[in-house]
Amino acid sequence: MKSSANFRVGLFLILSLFMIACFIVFILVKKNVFTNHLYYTLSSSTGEGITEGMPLLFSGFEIGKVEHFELDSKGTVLVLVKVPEEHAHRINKSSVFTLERPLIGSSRFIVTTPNITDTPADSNYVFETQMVDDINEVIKKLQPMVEKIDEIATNLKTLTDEKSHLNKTLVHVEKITNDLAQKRGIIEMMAGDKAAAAQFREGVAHLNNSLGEIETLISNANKTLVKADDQILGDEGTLSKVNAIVEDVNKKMADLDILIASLIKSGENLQEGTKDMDVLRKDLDSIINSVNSMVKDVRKVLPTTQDKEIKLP
Amino acid sequence: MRLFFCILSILFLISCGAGHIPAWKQNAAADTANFIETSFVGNESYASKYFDKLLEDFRMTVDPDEIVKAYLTKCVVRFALLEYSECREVAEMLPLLKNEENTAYYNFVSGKARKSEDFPKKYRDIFEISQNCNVEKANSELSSEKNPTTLLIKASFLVKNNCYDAETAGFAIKAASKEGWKKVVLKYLALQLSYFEKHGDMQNAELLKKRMELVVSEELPE
Repeated sequence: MKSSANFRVGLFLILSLFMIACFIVFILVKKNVFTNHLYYTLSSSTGEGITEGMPLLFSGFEIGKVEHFELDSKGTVLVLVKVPEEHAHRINKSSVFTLERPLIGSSRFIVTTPNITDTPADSNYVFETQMVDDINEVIKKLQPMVEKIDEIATNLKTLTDEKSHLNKTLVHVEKITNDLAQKRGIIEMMAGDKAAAAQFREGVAHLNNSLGEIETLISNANKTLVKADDQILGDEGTLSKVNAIVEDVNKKMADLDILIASLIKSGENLQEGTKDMDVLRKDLDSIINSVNSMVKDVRKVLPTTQDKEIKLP
Repeated sequence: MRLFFCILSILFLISCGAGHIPAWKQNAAADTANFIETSFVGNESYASKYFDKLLEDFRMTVDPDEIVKAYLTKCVVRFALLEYSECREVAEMLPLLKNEENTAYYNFVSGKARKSEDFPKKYRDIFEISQNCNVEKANSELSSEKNPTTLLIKASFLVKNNCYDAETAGFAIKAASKEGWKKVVLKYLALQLSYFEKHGDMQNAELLKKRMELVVSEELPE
């Protein structure tokens, strides 16, 4: 019975130790302790943002880490990247390494391989690193905005200054409201003193008087116009006489119309006469032509004293 | 009556042998006479119309030697009126001319004739006389000239060559006056007047002035 209990304890211990050993192996395997790694060297113009253990991503998956980085004698930062053997085929001489510094989150290396079948890179091959600095880009974009904000602030300062126009305007407004509160007239406010306001009032009174005189003048002019109206448009006014003259002219024009009509008639007669003259002329032409032809015939028949040649004088 | 029929028969027979004269030639002869007459009278508008007709008549032939006669007639008429010109219209036609008489007339009126052969036959004698300037002989030549136009041309030639006297102008005046060629008469009267004034014969000059006034005063506007 006692041996049976010892056996059981011994078995338990052995199994426990075995399980602990398995766990440790499992952890080590998971930690790639037994995996072979390949090392690649990257060169960068700056070491800013680079830290040891920084991940190397390929298509969003982590395939390696920054093992170590240092400054060489030429001032270039050399970064040693450790990549497990199983991912090494993703990196060759066509691979491009980019150091990305996002605005939010930590920096990382991203590798892209356009030609997956290119020659594999050996351990001496140094990759050039490109930079994508989101923080600097944002700062560049913000720079003009900050300048504008600064300008606005300066303008606001100028506006609110003691000697600014706005302040002066506000002082004037305050003065006017004070004057209004003391119930001083607008004229006095405009003139600046009471004496000038009094003069203004006197001027207005004088203007009123002048207007009265003008009204009188207009009424006199109206009366004159009435008289003129009587003289021009009255029964024995000028217009009636003009009307009589116009009537007389009209009568004479009517006579003239008759005269013109008779003249037109005479013209028509003359036109007819001209037609007759045309006929007469045609008759005369035909007679002259006949005479001409007769003269030619006579010339042909009668002897002539003319020479056959026309001689110059 | 018998005599009349005899004359008519003779005329008829002559006419049969007279030959045909073209209409343009008959018209040209009439228009030439009319042009000379109206030009000498001084009726410029009529003269211009007759010249156009004359030119039209000659142009019917399309013969340069005939057409040039119109222009030569114009130049000769001017010449007779003591208006001396180069007769440029004819000068342009010279290369086309074949009739030597036409060329002689051109040389005569334009003043380019230098020797007797260059002159028209009719005017060679007067040229010979003017060479030695024998005024008496020249006047004698004019007195024997029956054709008034020819007489005027000869007189004008003598005046041009400064081989004339008052009598020379007198012959022209007489001939023109007889024909009623007022413009010619006045031209030669003016010539005679200037001759008298030049030679100090004021009495005759005054008489001439009065004679000229008879005509000129009538033409003055009121």
